[in-house]
Amino acid sequence: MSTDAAVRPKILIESVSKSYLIDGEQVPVLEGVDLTVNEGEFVSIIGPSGCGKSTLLNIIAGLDQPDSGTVELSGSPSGSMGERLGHTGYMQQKDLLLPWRSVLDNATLGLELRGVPRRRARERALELTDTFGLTGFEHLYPFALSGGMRQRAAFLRTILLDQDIVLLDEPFGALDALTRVQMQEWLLQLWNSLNKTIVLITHDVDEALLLSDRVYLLTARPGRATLVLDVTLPRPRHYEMVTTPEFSALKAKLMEPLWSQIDLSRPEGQSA
Amino acid sequence: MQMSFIKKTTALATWLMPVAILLGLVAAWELWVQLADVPKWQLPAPSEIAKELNASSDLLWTHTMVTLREIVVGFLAALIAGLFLAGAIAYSRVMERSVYPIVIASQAVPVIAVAPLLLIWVGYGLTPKIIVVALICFYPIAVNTVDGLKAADPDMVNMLRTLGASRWQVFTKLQIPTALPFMFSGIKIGASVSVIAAVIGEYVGASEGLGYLITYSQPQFQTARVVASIFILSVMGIGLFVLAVLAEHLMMPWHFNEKRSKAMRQL
Repeated sequence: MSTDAAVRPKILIESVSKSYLIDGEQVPVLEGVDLTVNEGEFVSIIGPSGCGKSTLLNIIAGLDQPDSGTVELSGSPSGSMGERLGHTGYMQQKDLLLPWRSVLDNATLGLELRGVPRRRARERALELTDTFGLTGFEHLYPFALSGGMRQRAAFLRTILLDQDIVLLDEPFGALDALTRVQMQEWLLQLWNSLNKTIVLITHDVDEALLLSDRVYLLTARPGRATLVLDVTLPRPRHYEMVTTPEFSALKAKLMEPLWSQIDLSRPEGQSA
Repeated sequence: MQMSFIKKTTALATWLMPVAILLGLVAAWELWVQLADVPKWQLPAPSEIAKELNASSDLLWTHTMVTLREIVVGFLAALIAGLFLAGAIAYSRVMERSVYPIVIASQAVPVIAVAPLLLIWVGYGLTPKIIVVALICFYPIAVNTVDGLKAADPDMVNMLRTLGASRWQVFTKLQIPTALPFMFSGIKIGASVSVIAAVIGEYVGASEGLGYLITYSQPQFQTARVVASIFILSVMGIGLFVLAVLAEHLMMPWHFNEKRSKAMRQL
């Protein structure tokens, strides 16, 4: 592999393993996971519950440290959690908006933490409120917003810091099906204009295929990347594509190993 | 339209019901004293107490001001010390391990038994009463605030860390706002017990204040004056509580709007 930082992947994860002590027992969560995401790529990670998807994102974000293996962000190896913290935009399924702050003040939180003057921070947020469908709602408190709007406000907070890498942990998981489709369409358009490297975690096969350049399939605990699928669908993409034969063919490739992961004799929640 | 109607009726019901019950009780009291001819020194009628409030207004006012000063100064001292210590305990592991157990154990010390000692230690003036008020109000404020500072959602903490927040920023931007509702619970409890604390402080030895007036008037069978003093003390307690609630609404409008909108959604 070249040592030139310019062509090195944006995120390079090599044989990362992680286990947790649960009830006095070491439970492996991730085992020898490799992941490569190039600059400007949209990569999804899909897998059954408890496959360590969120742990993987936590490791990339610097909230957690692998037991073994290496993590490299933007071409520089980051040994400690502190070196990665604050270098990615991380958005979770819960919007985690602070209830005592207006939409605008929530959005500018990251800039505020960095000491950007309040007025400049607000100006930058207001430039994007339209794109994020929040115009007219800037001064409302989170409780007054719909679920989709709350997620977009949280997303604006994530994007405003202008990190190259954006990690999305099931960002639309808590939304109803219709809102979810709208948000996916919106994210597709947004990604085109943002030029970010995005890692998305999802349960939703359609979502993964529709949005991604590449999909990683993780196995159930311990999580292992068993399948990497290049999504060859043309861009720009639209939600109507989910009914095309090409889409179905890709979906079949992904569904088959995913189904074999799922133990149908046990309802979800009882597993592991 | 319908919303505002529901709002009005519930607001009316919440205020009207207790007021109506209270008025009914007072009326029954008045009637009982008049009809059964209860002697004035045993149980004065509400009308008798009202007369006393009017006749001795200067005297009552002087003693009210003394007690109020003890309460306000003692309460503010407890508030400042309580918040400062709660902050230190929540921020520093060392403080939590070393000081917090002592704070909790301090509640076991009966302040009412310590109060006479304070007379020996700091003299006879306002100071021992202020200390009693401060000691009693301190505990609920400190302990509730510590709980609040530790109640921050761990996911929120992580969110702030990924945004690059320092430990201090997590404390100021997340932990302190999270603690506000808890802090106000402590303040409301403190406001309610502060009046009791001042009376205790005056009972063990004083020459002024409403607690003193009660202990002075009771052996002379000036029962109307005793009850009038108790009435003023109660009004004072309610007033302080209402002040605390007002401050709560002013400082956390989001908290109450959120609660209201949740309640509305359930309607």
